[in-house]
Amino acid sequence: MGLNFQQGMLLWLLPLAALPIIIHLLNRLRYRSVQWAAMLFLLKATRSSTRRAKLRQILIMTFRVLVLLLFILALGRPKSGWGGWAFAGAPDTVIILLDRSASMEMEDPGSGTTRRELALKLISGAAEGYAGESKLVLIENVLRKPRSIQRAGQLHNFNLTTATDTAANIPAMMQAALDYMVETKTGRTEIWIASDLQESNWHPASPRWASLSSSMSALPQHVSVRVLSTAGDTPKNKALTFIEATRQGHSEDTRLVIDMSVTRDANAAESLPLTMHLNDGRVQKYIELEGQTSAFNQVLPLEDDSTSGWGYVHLPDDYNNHDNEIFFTYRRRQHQGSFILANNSTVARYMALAAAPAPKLLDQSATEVSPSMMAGMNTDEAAMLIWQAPIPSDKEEQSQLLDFIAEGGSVLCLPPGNPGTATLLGLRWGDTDVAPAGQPFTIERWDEREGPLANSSDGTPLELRNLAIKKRQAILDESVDTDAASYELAHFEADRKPFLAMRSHGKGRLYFLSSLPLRDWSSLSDGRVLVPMVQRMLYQGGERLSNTSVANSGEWDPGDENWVPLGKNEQKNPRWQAGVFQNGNQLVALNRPPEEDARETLSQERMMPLFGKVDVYSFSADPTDAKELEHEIWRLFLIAALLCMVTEGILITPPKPTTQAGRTS
Amino acid sequence: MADTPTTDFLDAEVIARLSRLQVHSRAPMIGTVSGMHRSPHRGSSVEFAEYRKYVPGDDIKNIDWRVFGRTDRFYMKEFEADTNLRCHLILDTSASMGFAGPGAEPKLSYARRMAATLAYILVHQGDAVGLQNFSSHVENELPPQHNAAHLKNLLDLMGTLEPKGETEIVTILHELAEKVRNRALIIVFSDFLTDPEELQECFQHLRYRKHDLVVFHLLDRSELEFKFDRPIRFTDMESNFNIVTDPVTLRDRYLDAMHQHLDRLKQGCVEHNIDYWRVVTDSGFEDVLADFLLARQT
Repeated sequence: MGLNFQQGMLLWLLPLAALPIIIHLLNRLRYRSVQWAAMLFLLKATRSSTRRAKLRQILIMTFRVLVLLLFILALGRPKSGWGGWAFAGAPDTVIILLDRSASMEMEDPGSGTTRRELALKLISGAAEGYAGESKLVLIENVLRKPRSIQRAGQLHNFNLTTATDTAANIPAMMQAALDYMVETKTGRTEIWIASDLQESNWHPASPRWASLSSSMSALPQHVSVRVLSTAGDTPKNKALTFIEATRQGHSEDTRLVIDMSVTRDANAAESLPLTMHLNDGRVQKYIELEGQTSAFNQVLPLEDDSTSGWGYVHLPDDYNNHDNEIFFTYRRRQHQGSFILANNSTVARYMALAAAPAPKLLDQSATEVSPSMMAGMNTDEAAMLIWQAPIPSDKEEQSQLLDFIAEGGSVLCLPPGNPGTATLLGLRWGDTDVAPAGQPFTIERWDEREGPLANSSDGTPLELRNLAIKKRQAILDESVDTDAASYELAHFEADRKPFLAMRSHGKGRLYFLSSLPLRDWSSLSDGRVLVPMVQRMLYQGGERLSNTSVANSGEWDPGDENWVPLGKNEQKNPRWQAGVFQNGNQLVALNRPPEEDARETLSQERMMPLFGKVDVYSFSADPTDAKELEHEIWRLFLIAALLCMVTEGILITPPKPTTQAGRTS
Repeated sequence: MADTPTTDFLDAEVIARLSRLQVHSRAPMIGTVSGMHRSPHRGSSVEFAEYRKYVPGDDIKNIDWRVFGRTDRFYMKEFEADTNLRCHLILDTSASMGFAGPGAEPKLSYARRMAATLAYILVHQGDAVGLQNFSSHVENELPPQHNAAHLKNLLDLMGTLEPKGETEIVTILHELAEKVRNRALIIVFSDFLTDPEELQECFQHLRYRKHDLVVFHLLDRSELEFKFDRPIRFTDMESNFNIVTDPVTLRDRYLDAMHQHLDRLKQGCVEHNIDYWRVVTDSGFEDVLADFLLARQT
């Protein structure tokens, strides 16, 4: 509680605040003496104004001292403690949003404390100040389920505050907090967000922020947000990111190709040992790094003709040991079948070509079926369904699609052309929109890191910028379920409406694409975007047919099944920890989501407006002095100094000259 | 050997220019010899005053025989009497009259130049001039005379005057009113740093004695404006009492007190028909005197 100073040494200048008093005393000693005749008037004036003059003099002196004092304090960059808020009284409820994503495991080089540990220490210290007065509720980024905390000290020993290999979705956590406030009528509430402000976790471009802030400011109870930023200088850390592991070759020439990348802060060329574990074997190789991100692959021969297996690759320990390992599984390539259920036969033909461009070579098949025939269709051997028809309102048809996704399949919905009210996982089709002649809709930004639009393994981006969309159908997200919010993989440049949206459900994914591969709709039919996109969706959907899979930690739901970690002799929770897990003959490799390795952090200037009219305070955590939460308040001191200066200026302004009357020669 | 008194304060050029003007009394004077000022008595001047009936004992040379021829009655022809005046120059030489603002002339020095010039003009128009200087008491006194030797003595005395002591102007003026019995022109030079109510009583006393009273109120520019920008120790020139204060904070109230004093003093003078002249010592004394003399011509 109280003030701390970032430039504490400058506080040695504080005695300078006494300068006005010293100058005043010196002046008193060095008064100019004047022989005066008209003492009669002087005495009269002194008698009537001595008290006021003294008071004025004292005020002027006080303000002068204050100006210097506040100015020196502002130079010292004061930081207000969490206690500074406590003057407002304890809130009824404190909701702690804890980001325990992998990036929060970054250690401070000086103290060795991770960002998560620091956040927990500061938050529990602050929460103890409200013990017995405020109800404490924890929402962490993996389960996003509100949990009551009896004592702030519990936070340190709670399994829901331990390290994870997941990514955080801050807007989704805010939504969970909002739902909790609405459901339980929390009274005056403070939301404490502990995060390293990683931009990929905050999704600042998401339209959800606008609805969140307006909903919160519309609540009957007062809600304020305090953001504890643990972002700081990133030490020299290296992160290993998994891209893909594919089994290639036949019979005796079987090999495993692992695509991965290393992200680091340095630019200088560097050699780094890479240790690879494959089944029971171990291989170490040196890789040469150039630039901040190096994508490369490693080829490991598969000695036996095994159909599946697993392994992991790791870098030497550094400041974040949660981003040094990747896990993988592999399997023999299996037949990838897909069903095209399209009302438009041209669309069906193009999609069939995209789903099986070389059926025999790639062991793929695409079957065109009328959407009305779906009820009697056997999808057991299919990896993907492509649906170009109105969203089925029939519950049986809907559950058939949802079950397919939940089992790991991919479903791609294409615009039916007419708007509909039926939703699938909260998504539905809106109005059709035609671009002005000669000015097609274009796509500027998309998720290049992962998903069906990700860059190729050598970093080449898909040609989305060259896509010309003449006609599109709006994708509307009406989901209320915060756990499965849609994610915009690409949006249009002009109005940021989604081009491709995705929702996870169970082990699979649902995609909504806003245009069709038809000449009057778009240039998708040239295949340069459509084919790789569909192929990746198909590959993802093939997971349901395989006994091995790769997924992102935190996004994969183990359900009630008993998944046992393989490899290292340690207990791991498949809900939020990376590793290879086995359940019977099924293997799953869980990796840290690739967006966790993104270095971009959200600046204060971009973060604060996200909360709209909700009161928000930002604090920065100092790992070297983790006594309390602090935020810089030097501006307040500077403003106060200026106000004092203005007041002093008013006080010393001489009165208006009095005009003299009388007969003078 | 005593220092020879200086008469530098007498400016021959100023006198030459002002001598065309005369000092006139605004009230009848009772002088000792014939002069240029009206007397309350009938006299032998050429200016006819009135007729009155002859009574035995009257000098028959004043009987108007033309009137006797027309009316067969004796009437005495009477004429105005012109006389000289006696002027008392009253000079305040208390310590406060030694005050001078930055670059300005001390009030006493200024008053001395005015008084000397007036004395010269009065003597040369045949009037008697006396001088009295005072602080807490009358220090020097020269009774009015009208000869050149007296003028020299008067100017010599003026040259020796130094500001010192406290002011007791009220007592001094009351004493003067009692002492000077015949009507006279009394010119007072002072900064009048005393209670205006008491001063008014003095003035009333002097007017009661039918004196023509002229008041030159001398002020320094710095006293009027009171412009100081830092705390100052003010020491009273008469009592050595001192006070440390910030003039900036006091200025308004100082000016209020001063203007109140000036207004009351002026108002008192107007009420008692006293010729009041406020003089700031940075103005040319020749102009002040010229204004004064011109105002007296009518």
